[in-house]
Amino acid sequence: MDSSTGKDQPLALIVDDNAVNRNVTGQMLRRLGWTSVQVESGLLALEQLKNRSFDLLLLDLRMQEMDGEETCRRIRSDLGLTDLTIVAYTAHGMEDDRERILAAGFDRMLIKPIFLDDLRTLCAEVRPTVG
Amino acid sequence: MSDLTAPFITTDVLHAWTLLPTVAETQPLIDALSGRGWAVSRGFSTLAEVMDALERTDTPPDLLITRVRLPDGDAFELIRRLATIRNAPGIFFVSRQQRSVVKAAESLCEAHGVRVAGHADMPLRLTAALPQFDAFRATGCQRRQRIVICPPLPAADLQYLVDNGGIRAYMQPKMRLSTHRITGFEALMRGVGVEGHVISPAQLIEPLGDAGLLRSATLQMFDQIVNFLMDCLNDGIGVGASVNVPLSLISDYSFCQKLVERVEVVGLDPSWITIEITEDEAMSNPALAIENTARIRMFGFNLSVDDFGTAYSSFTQLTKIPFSELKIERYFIKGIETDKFKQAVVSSCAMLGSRLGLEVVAEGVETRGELTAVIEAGCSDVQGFLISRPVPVPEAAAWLRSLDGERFALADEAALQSWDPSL
Repeated sequence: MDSSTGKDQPLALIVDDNAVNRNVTGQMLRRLGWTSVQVESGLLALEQLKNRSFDLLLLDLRMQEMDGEETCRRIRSDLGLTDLTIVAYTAHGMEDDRERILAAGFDRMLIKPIFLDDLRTLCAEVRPTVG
Repeated sequence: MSDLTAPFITTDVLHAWTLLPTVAETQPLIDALSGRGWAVSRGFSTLAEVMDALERTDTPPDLLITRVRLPDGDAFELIRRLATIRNAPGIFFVSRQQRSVVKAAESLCEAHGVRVAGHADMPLRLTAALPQFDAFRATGCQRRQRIVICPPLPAADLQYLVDNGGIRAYMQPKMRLSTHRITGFEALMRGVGVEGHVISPAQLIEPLGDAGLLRSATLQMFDQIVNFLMDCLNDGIGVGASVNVPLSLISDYSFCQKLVERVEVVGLDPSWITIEITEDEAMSNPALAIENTARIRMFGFNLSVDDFGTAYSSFTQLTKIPFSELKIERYFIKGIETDKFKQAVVSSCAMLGSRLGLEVVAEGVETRGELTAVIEAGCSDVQGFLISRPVPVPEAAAWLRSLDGERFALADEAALQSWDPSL
């Protein structure tokens, strides 16, 4: 699942239980000069975060096992990763829930489907010198 | 299969008839036209005469140059009667009337499907009039020559199409204005007969509905866009696709289940797919629409209101249905750059949509002038022949991959003329 190649490239963790989405997001990030690690659950994300540091975490809110909000809370509290940029991505129409979602510890929300332009804007803000 | 090939005869010289009671004032125009590839072959002075001639002739003209007020009627009656004739000519208005009257006549033409070449005020200024005739030659007549007059398809032929893979998704791209990136495609239904000829939506969609085959045909369209999306996404190209579904089908729970099954079996996130319903349908039965569109959203698909601006929905009604996108009817886009009314409608729609968090798509964008105007109006996305005509799935897939990072560069305007609106 690790598609990293270069040492200096920023690294993103993609957490989504949909394999097609993980793959396309990973490929789009690669086009932007990023590398990514892709996992399919919140628990696997926590494992990854214990072992290495990431520049960005993309987290699907709607996952079967442990949902995105719970995963985010545990990253912030249990792992104490308060500086990591964590982005929720979610279905259209969840804007009304924005406050509650952000309160779980997310830095921002993206609406699915995620396009290259969304990622480009996001990545430019997280690591302005890349891409 | 029925014989579907009966195109008009193409000729280099275009024919115009005139319905101009006072010839002296308009003679300079008629003289000038003959040097520009037009033959003004017959002149009439009354509505009755010209209608009689049109009904009798086997070779109708391409264009009728007419006054708005006629000795025995007016252009409004003329337009209504032209609409009942096969191969009716387009109209060019020569008028002393106030602009709003001529504009109403042009709108009536549009409503009746009669082509408008343009208008000129009296006294005539050739520099203003002649470019309109040239433009009609360049576009209007090409379009007409390509129209294939087809008999309605018999139910057996429709059944054959549905049973033998003859229902095809033709994909028309949608471009995000802020980045010029292609973000999705609308799948438009076409039939492809055994000889490879394309059957237009007008011949297809309503007859399929009448024959009880629209459900099956729509599912086939859906399968094709699912496959298209999977190919794109697996290649790392993040684009969506939309498909038109009648409210009657969305209201059928088992139909929605089938859509869900089809994305689940391949593992496609339904948010890549947008279901489009027309504003007219959404508003004609709000309770039914709310229940069923909400269900579509619950399943994770996105939802678009198509042909927006035609059904006069109130803002309140619009907010009750969980749309994610608003598509402005092409009528409001055509010629928007010179039409203050259309500009007002489109910018209001764009403001409404963006305030509601919706993407606002201008449909039917064909010229740079229209593109500039819809950008000014605040639309977020465009669709139309300026970007691409609808093309078969393999062609759309290849086209997308030929772009630099899915980013569209506006093509040479001349290349835009070679499209066929009947397809």
